[in-house]
Formats: sequence, C-alpha cells, structure tokens
Amino acid sequence: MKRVLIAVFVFLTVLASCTAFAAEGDKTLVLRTERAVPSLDWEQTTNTSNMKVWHQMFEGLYGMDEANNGYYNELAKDVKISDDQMTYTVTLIDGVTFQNGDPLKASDVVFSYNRARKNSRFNYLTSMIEDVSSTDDKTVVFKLNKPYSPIAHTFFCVKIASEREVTEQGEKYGTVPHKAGTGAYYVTEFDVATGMKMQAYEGYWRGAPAIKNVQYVVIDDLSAAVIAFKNNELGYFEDVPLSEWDFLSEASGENNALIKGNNILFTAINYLSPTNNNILANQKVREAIFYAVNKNDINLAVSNGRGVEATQYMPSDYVATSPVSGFKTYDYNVEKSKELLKEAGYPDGVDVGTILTYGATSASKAILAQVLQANLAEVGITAQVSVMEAAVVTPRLYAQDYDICVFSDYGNYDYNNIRQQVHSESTGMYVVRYKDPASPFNWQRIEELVDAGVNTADVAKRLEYYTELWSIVMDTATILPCLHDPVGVVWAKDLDVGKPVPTYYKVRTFKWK
Amino acid sequence: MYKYVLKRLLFLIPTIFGVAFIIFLVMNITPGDPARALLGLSAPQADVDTLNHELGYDLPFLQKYFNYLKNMILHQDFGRSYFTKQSVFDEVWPRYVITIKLALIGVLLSALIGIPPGIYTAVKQYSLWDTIPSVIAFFIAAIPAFVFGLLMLFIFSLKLNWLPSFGATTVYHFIMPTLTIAIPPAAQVMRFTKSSMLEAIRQDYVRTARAKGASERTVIWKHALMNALLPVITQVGLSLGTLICGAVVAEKMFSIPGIGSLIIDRILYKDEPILLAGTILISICFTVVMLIVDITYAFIDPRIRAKYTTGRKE
Amino acid sequence: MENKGENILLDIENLKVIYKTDLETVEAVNDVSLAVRRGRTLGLVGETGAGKTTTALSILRLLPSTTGRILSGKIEFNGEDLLKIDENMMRVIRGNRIAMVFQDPMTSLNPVMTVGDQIAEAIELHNGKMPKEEIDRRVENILQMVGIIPQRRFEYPHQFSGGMKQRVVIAIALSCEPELLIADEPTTALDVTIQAQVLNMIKELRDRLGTAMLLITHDLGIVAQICDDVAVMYAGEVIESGSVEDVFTGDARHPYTAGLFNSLPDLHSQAKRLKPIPGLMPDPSNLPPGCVFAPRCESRMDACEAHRPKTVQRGSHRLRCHLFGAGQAPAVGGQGR
Repeated sequence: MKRVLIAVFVFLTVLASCTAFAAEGDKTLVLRTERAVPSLDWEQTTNTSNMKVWHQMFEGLYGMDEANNGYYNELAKDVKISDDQMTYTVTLIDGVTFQNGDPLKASDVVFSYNRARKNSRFNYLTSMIEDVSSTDDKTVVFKLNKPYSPIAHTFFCVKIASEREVTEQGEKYGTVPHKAGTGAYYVTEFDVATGMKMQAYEGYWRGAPAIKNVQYVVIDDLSAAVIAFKNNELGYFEDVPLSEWDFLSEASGENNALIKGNNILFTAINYLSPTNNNILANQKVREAIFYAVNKNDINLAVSNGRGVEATQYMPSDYVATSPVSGFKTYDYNVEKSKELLKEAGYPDGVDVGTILTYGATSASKAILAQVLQANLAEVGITAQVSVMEAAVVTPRLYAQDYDICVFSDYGNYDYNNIRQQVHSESTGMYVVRYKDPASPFNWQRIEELVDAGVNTADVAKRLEYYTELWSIVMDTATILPCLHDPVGVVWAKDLDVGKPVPTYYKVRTFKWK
Repeated sequence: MYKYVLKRLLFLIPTIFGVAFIIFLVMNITPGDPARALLGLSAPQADVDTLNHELGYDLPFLQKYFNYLKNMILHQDFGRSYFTKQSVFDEVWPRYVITIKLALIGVLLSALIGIPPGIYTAVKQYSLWDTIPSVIAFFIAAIPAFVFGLLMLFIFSLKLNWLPSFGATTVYHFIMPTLTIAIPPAAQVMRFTKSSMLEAIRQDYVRTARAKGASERTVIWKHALMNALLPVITQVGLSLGTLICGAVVAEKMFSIPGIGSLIIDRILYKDEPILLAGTILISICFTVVMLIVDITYAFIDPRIRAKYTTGRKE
Repeated sequence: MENKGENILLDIENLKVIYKTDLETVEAVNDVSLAVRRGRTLGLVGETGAGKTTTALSILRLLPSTTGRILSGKIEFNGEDLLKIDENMMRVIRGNRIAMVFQDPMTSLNPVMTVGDQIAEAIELHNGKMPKEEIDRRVENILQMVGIIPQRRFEYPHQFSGGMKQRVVIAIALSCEPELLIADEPTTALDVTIQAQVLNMIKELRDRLGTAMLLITHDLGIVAQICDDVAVMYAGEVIESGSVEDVFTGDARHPYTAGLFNSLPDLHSQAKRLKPIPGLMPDPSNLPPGCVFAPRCESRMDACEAHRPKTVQRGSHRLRCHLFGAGQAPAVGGQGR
C-alpha cells in the first residue's frame, strides 16, 4: 500500500512539473471581445469592437499608430500624389506574403478595393475612388474623382485580402477559418458565439510575432470580464469600465494605463429649436450656456477626474491636422455667463427646454447631462434632462428635434470627419444643421473650408483651413467639446505590451516577459 | 396512453404556427430593419433598401410568414441569418443544445437541492432544524438570478480562483451557471415540498402505516413521500419556464454561447430567421417537457393513469 | 372480586391522557380502567369526544407526538406494560399482535400503492425472511377471507368502493393474525346495508381466528349484536362497564347510560318526540369538579357536584356514580381509597 502511494505521489509531482515547464510557445494570450464577431470577412461590420479583432489578421496600405502621429505606411512602401491631387500611385513593399504563402501582388490590392467599393457600408470610404488598377505586380494606381486627402483613412480601413483565397472559398468566405490576410495571425478555429483561436503566422513579413497563440473570447457582461481578468483568465483587457479602475489597476500591479481616448463627449445646442419662443436662436443665450459649463465637474462626475477636458474636435496626438489653438474655447466663467444672459434680456434666468441624450442612465452621457443641468441652474438657466434609447434619440438629433443634447463622437482619425458634423450633405449624420433658411451662420464658408481641407494633402495647409473652420464653428456657440473619455487598459503580469494605445492595439508587438 | 401522447405532440404544430406568427407580427410592428443595422448609419438609404430586398425582409409580413412555414415544413430549411449569412440551423442548434443542457441540469439540480431539505423541514417541523433552513430558503428565493451569478463569480472565480469565469467547454464551466439557475428555484421547491409533505404526513393512510408497525422512516420515505412528490414533480416541471429565462441570465453572466443570449443579441439586428428558429425550438422544448411531466405523473399516480388509459375501472 | 388472571388479554388501569397545546390543556382521558378478555369483544361506547379514540390510540402509542401525552396509568398486554417498553418493541406489537382498524376507509389506504402491496407490507414487516411466494399466498388468502377476489390484489384503492376498502383495511389488520383487534367505529362511514355485511364479516373472522376485539362505537345496536362486554365512556371517564347483560338488562344503571337507552327511537312507543339527554358534554379543557355528568344529570345530588364518584363494583358490573356509592348498595372491595 505504501509503495502504491509513493508511486502515485511521484507521478503527480512529475505531472505538475511538466505543466510548469511548458514551453513558452504553448502559452495562449486570451483577449476579450465584447460582442460576437459575426464573420471572418472584415467587410461585414463597421463596429470598432470587431475591427480590433480583424486588424490582427489583415493589413491595409496604411496602418494606425495612436501613440505616434496616426497613419503610417504599412503595405505601401511609397505613395506619390499627382499635382492635381487626384491620382495616387502606390508602390507596395517587398517580401510580403499572405498567410497561405502566396506573395502579395498589386492585383490582390485591386481585388480588395473593388470588393470594398461594391459594399455600400463603405461608401463613405470609397465613393471618391473612380478607378483602381495595377500597372505591374508592385504598383497600384488610384484615380479619384476629386482631390481627397483623407484618402489616408481609406488606405487604413480597406484591408488587403488574398484574391485567390477569397475566390476559392466563395460563399464560405467569412464563415470558416482562412489564410487570406497579410497580418501576423490567422484563425484556426472560429465560432460566432464563443470567439476564435488564432495562431502566429511564422512567415509574417515583419518576422514571426513573439506570441504564438491568441484566443478571443466573447464576454458580453462587463462585470464578468473584470472577474475574468482578476481570475487570470484574460491576458489583455482594454476599454475597462472606469468604475472598476481602482480594483483592476491594483490587480494588475504595474501593468495598467489610462490613456486619452478617441471618444469625445460633446454638448450641442439646436439654434433652430422652437422651445420658449426660439430662445436658443439667441446667440448670447447660447454663449451663456457654454460659459456655464464646468468641464472639471464633468470630468469628476463622468470619469472620476481621470479624463481630459476637451476643446478639440479630435485629439491632435494622432490627428496632425487637428487645430490646437486659434478658436474660442468658452472656458468656465459663471460671471461672464450671467452677464451675457443679462445682455440677452434674461437677468433672472430662463428656461431652455430639455437636455436630450441616450444610453444607460448610469453612463457617461447621462451623467454629463445631469452635470450640465446643475451647471446651468447655477446661472439661472433651467432645463430638464431626458435620457432614452439610442434608437429613439439619434433619429431625433438628426431631425433637429431637440433643444440641447449630449452626444459622443469617435473613430475619427482624419480631421475631415468633421464634415459629418458640419456639412449640409451629410444628412442623417449631423447634429446641428448649419445650412438652413433661418441660419445666421456663414455655412457657405464652412462648407468651402471642408472642401478645401480635402483638396490638399499638404498638412500645414490643411491645418490652416481647419483652424479657420473650427473657429467659425466655435463662434456659432452650437457645439462644445467637453471631455475625452479616458480608456483604461490592464494586462497580465507576464505580458509586455510596449506603449499602450486606446484602440488599435497590435498583438504582434506584445511579448511574454 | 399512446393516443394521448400523440394528441399532445400533434398540438405542437399549431403551437409552432402561433409562435411564428407572433414573432413576425412583433418584428413587423417594431421600428428598425436588418439592413440599416448591418450597414450602419452612414450608408445611403438606397443601399439599405437594396439589402433589405435581398434579405427578403421587405416582403409583406403575412407572405414572409407563409414562406417561412412552407420552407420549414417542406424543405426543412430554416433560412440564413440576416446578420452572419450563415445557415440558421448550423448557428442555432449547437447553442440550443447548450441552453437545454443548462436548463435541464438546472431543473434536476433544483429538485435535488430542494427536495431533501423540504422533506427534512417537514418532518422536523417547529424545531430549529425547520426554522433555520426555512429562513435561509426564504432569502435565497428572493435573490435574482443575476445577483446570484455575480455572487458565485465573485466567490469562486475572484476570491478563491477555483472555477473559470467564462466559456462552456469543460465540466467546470458548467458548475456555476447551473447552480446559478438552480438554487433560487430550489428554495421554492423546498418550500413547496415541505408543505406537500406536511399535508401528506397528516393523511390517514400514514396513520394506518404506523399502525401496521412500520418504522417512522418507512412511514415518511415510503408512504408520505410517494404521495407528497406528485405535486412537487409538476411544480418542478413547470419551473422549467423560469429556468430557461434564468438560463439566459446565466449565459450572459458566464459568457456561455446559448440560445437565450443569441436571441437577445439578434433582436436588435431584427434577424428574423434566427429569432424564429430560436423561439420555436424553445417552445418545442417547453411543450415536450410539459408532456413528460404529465406522463410521469400518470406513471406515478395510478388514479391519473386511470384517466388516460381507456382502462377498465371497477 | 374481578378475575384477574390469564383470562385478561388487555388490562388498562387508571389511564390519564392529555393533549397539550400552547393555548390549553385538553384532559381527554381521565382515570380510565378497562379490560378485554382473551377471545372476547369489548364494546367501548360513548358520544363523540368522550375519549374513546384517544384511549384506543394510547394502547398502540399512536397519539400525535406533538400534543398527546400519556400522563399516568398502566396498559398491560399479556402481562407486559406497553407504556414502559421502547419504541422498537412497540413496533413489533403494532400490526402484529395488536392491530387497529380506523374509521374512514376512504382515506385509510395509500392511494399510490396496490392493495396487495399494502397487505403484503404488513406481513413483511413482521415476517422478515418470508419468501415472496409465501407472502403472495397469504395476501390472496386474507383477501378471500374478507370476501374479495384474490386477483384484485393488483388493483389500487380508488378502484374499490367504500365497503370493499374497509374490507381491505380489515384484511391488513388481520393479516398477521393479531391477538387483539382494535376497531374504531369501523362501519360508521358506510351505508347501513354495507354496515351489516362488514359487521357480519368481522364477527365471522373473530370467531374463526379467536381474536379478541376492542370495538369502539356510538351505536348501542352494534354493541348488542357483537360484543360480550361493554364499557361506557363519558367526558374521558368510564362511567359504567360490565358484561352486555349487566349493562343492557341489569338492575343498576348509570343515569347517563339510562339517558342513552332512552334516546334510542323506539318503534313500539307512542312518543311523538325523541328524548335526548339535555345539555352538552363538558369542555375537556375545563372539566367540572365533582362528577363529570352532574351538570346534565336528572338524579343529581349535592355530593355529585362536590366529589368525583369512585367506581363501585357489583359482581362484573362496575359503576361510577354517587347513587350507588357506599351506603346505597353493597360495595365489593375497593379500588383503593
């Protein structure tokens, strides 16, 4: 009996030690994705959560580095722009192969772009492209139908897939694992409901990545994800709920970072609102409202002081053409606000209607709305707060059926995105309608500047145009950036992630410590 | 007996028709459409309309309804998901199996956990062995499933690191979800068993059994329990409905790919094929379980059995 | 002097039983003494609430455990005091040497067990090693004895009528051939015609098996038909007992017993109204001092309200009444002071 026990004991110790000395290559990095990835075809949705996953498998002509000035050349070695700004000649870098082994050819780029052009989801990226063609295996020529410098965003978003692999898989493409990307990882197992397993592509053109096995799991519930991280089931957890920041930052030791995020919370005033005899058409009233906004309060309430007060439409950290100065910022000034109100003829305050927003009642926008209400009350301006479902509110915003609203905007890497907010042609997108028979604003100049910014690729020139543009917008006192939502990232003790970024992390830059 | 079972199973058909009708009706009335959800806000309306047409979404709803039924019955084709374009059956079936596993294990567990204390507190009525478990059960029954799930995650994953917090691959993954689903209803089962037992113990035939010289244990476990369990079984079977809802919560909490979370996720995308397949499968499961409960009841209680068989009643 | 000897199978002496709840104490049985002779039938008569069932349950110690308490007394069965033995030994006796038949046949049987199984259970409990075939044979035997086709042992209680159910209950009771059968109003819940059948059957079986019986009833007619001895209970006390001749046709009679006989409808008399005993039985949680019957007694004397009467013995006839106390008629022996 004693001998049996000893044998069992020895066996178990050996077993234990075997697992302890497992080769590093066998370790899997587990990441969380908050919603199911419906397909392995990057063209299927435009939501960021899915894109983060696809970006590990696919690459575009440009890449995005949020830590260092934004766009950089990825598969494109060289980009030459014609004088009329309408022809872009791209030379591909050498030595790139798809995960199935085929070398990258210009024809694959043409194939990928034509496929994207057919997909109406990407109209906003591809409508300016007239033609894509290849002159040889390494050169692709883009003919645009007008000058459009934000084509950089298109070069980043449109990913290159192996023409052979995609056509061979046919209908099945996207539903089963494939090796059609040039990225550092390809999918080995895929299930929409549970997530996917990825393996390192040893022949990756930048060299095989350090982390060999990656697994994405779908964890819908935020609390469950937090627990999973603490339980050492997740290796990298980004976009952490700020309410858990203290807990998680402690759990991760030194491996955490709070980064200025891409998501910015804005307050907007509908100058066309009929409420209270068109009270909001009064410029002074609007300015009074903005001067009453205490962004520090907002920061404290929404993100425990961890956010960054915003004055820009986009962070200039990675948008080189985002104006930093030269425009009104409406810094918090209660006296000024009250003075303006008096000048406008309302020394005892006024009711401006309802502050409308969407999302959960405990989430950032709703909290901001409440802080706003309190700030306004301090100067005598009264307003209700109304929080409803996004599906109900967003159409109302676009239809100009609101008084004041709180909204958020993100996913913008080229300043031209401001077109969505200020150009009359982007119906269904803007929150304030500048071009209107009753508009006192110089919307013509606004639209001219939007076009001008697009017509040149010269960064300095673009900055000039956008500065004037943003200055006009701020003068109208209709849109006010309030807060950069901070993005929290935590990662496992044995993981090294380099410099953390808020959105487009690259697993290929990670390594085990 | 077989005729009865057959009749009940045939009732499934109108049930399925009814469920499908309701889903199509609701989808028809509510705003939104799959193409818009898929293509995003910036896509032009023309493209949205085209996609809706391709998906077959813009047909009049009665036509969609009949087409769906026709395809389902004649070709066993449940269509393709608007969202993932994959075959609905391939997507739905594995998830359905997981949820059913969860729910059924949950039902069994709730019976296993709930019945013994119910018997015990009935036998030891008025003593401390009755009061303490009853009070505990009272509190547990009041805890909502998601709070319970979080509590378990907190204790077993967070603090003790014993169990994994997400996924559905190994047995360990199923422990917490099934307990989450099972324990609050188990408290109900316990209280119900207790009252049923108390009633049974007071019956005359129990006194007869004692008078025969049967031991107290035989009296309780054989005579009283056999009779007390009958309504308890029905109640446990009926609780399957609650458990399937609890399963949805557990699926979200523990990131288990089940059919409850699938349906909820796809509602926003108005993914009709998936929603239909999902709800129809759940209704089938429900109906079958009810039938099994009824048959079990007939098995155990000879008085009920007499009603179902065209038997000779003397 | 009473013959106490091997003739007496069951001897209850000075039994006192109460039901105690948080609110009140019910004195159900007060100083009851009675005896059942071997092979003979004692009828225990009285109104509802007199304490008959309690007495019967006490014999088998089947009182509800939460409230029933046997305070004092002796219940000797074959010389052994049942109140002093432990539960395990009591179980050997229940169903085996003393069996009981209860009042309501509709609910006395377990609805989910076959009739045969329920009878078999009684046999198995007391004959552990008996092989199955033998048990089955015995079951069929006993069913036949009570007048039921043996094949019906596979049927369930709901498939039997009330009278048949009661026969099954009797079959269960007699399956181990007990020495004493306690029958608590076995026919009260049945129709009159069935009553006669079942009673006849009981009589037959008793004669055949030589079983002694304690038959509880409120029906004097049944007592006349079947019983050898009678005991009359009122408010928890035995106020009169003796052989059937003593009580029915003897010269002394307790006023209560007289009242009982007088209240029977008489086909031959010309009376236009029935003659019930006026008043109600006293609340057992609040018994009167003195004689329990005094409040309703026509022959009430001062002594009756003051002192509890002692039992007076006249041969085999015993009465508990001041009318027959010392000084009125020769009292033989004494039950102590």
